[in-house]
Parts: sequence; structure tokens; C-alpha cells
Amino acid sequence: MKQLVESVCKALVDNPDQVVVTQIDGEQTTILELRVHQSDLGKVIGKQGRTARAIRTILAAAGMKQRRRFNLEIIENFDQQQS
Amino acid sequence: MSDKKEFVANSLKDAIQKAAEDFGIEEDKLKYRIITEKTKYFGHKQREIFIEAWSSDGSEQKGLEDFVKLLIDEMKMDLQFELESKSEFLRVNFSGEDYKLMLYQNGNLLNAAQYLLNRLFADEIGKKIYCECENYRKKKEAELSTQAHRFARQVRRNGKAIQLPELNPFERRIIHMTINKYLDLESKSDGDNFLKVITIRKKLNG
Repeated sequence: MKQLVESVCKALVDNPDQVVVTQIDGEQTTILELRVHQSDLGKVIGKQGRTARAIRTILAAAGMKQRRRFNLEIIENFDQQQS
Repeated sequence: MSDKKEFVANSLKDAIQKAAEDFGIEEDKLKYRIITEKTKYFGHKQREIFIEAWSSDGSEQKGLEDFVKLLIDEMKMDLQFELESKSEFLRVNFSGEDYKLMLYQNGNLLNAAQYLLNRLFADEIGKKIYCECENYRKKKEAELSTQAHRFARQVRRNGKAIQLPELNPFERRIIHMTINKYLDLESKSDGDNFLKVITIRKKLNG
């Protein structure tokens, strides 16, 4: 699922080279941490959170099929972490 | 995909012609997006239309196909898809074993996939993308229309307004179109969100 989230986000943002998806596998849950450039945050979240919700819906459906829970976490302060 | 260029003309037809001449291609191979439309002197003088155009070699559709393949593979779903290109829209038709999952919770996944595909590819392809699965939208349309007729009869009979549950724009459109056929009734959407509630009531002067 990491590849899918990555390709969706890279296509949406202005700075695709700064899209980083980290996958953390737990026993039953996989957390996908998404980091993008600060100015691209709005693009991956979308109007009224629609884009983020659509990605989460896809993750939830994939989770049902694969009997796993996928969580998407959008991490905000990428720039601050860098500096 | 080739480079995009901007063109301006007095009408859309002229702008498209201009762009096609500039690229040296037939008009049907040209993709465009209207940037803005301006009228001078309150529309009394002339209109100016700005378009962004590019020549299409079909590579946009390839991008969409690859993405849908990736989506199905990553989700490990047993689904196939077909693309059907019409003049106004592009339809992605899903079928296969896992169609129930696609339509789970009122077509939630189908809507999510449609939304993402539109965000990613609609501008490049130059038309809207519709996702369909096992005739879900067609059936839903018929079902909503029947429902709207039933509500309309109910409002007519006892004169009380009825409020429908939250609906998405596609569903609301069908309800409004059905209610519009009743001259003495009106329908109104309320809310600021993507999902809104519709109220059906008798017209005040009706």
C-alpha cells in the first residue's frame, strides 16, 4: 500500500521529491506516515479533507480484503524536523 | 504529453482552431482547458476566452490505466477494468469477484476511486472520469428516482415537508431532477458540506 499512497501523493503535490511515506508494521495494523512539503499539505488533504478521506477509504477497503488495518497519518511539521 | 500553451480568442471555437493550427494537428487530437473567460464593457463589446491547450498522443490514458492497475494490485483485489471513452467523459468499468467490496457502504470505494482519478487525470485527459461497477450507478439512479416519486406523492398527500438523509451531489441531482417534474413541489439542498440534506415541500404559491 505504501507504493500506492506514494504514487497518489507524488501526482498531487508540487514537490514530489519531498514526498516520504514510512511504513510501520504492527501485529494487525500498518501505519503509513506521510510527510510532504509544508506548502503541499493542503493538496494531500484536499477540500474539506476529501482527498485524505478518499485515500483512507481505499486503505480501509484494502484492509478488509487483506484482514489488516491500515492507518494513514499525515505528519505536519516536516520542515521543522529537517532544520 | 506535449507542452502546454495558452491561447486567447473571441470564442472557444476560434481558440481551439488557433491552438490546433499552432500545434499543426487536427482539432480532435487537441486537449484543452478553459482558463478564464472575460467580457469587455459588460458583454456589449467582445468576449475573450483564454484556454490552455496541448496535443494528445493517448499517453494520458495510459497513465490512468497504469494507475488503476496499481490500485487493484496493491489492494490485492480480484477485479478487472475496462476503459470506455465517450466524447464528454471517460468511463472506468470495474467487474470481477470483489465487486461487492467496491460497492461496500453505498459505493464508498467506487466514489473514492472516482474522486482520486478525477483529481489525478481529469485535467490531463480533458474530460471527466466516471467509475462504474456492475451497473451500480444506473441502478442507484433508478432507485433514487422511484424514491423521489414516492416522497413527492407523500408530500402532495399530507402537505408536510420531508427531509431526506444526507446525499452526495450525484444523488441530489437525481432527486432535484425528479422533483422538478412536479409543478407544485420544490426541493432544496441545505448544508455546507459535501453531503447535504434535501427538503421536499409544496411550493408556497403552488
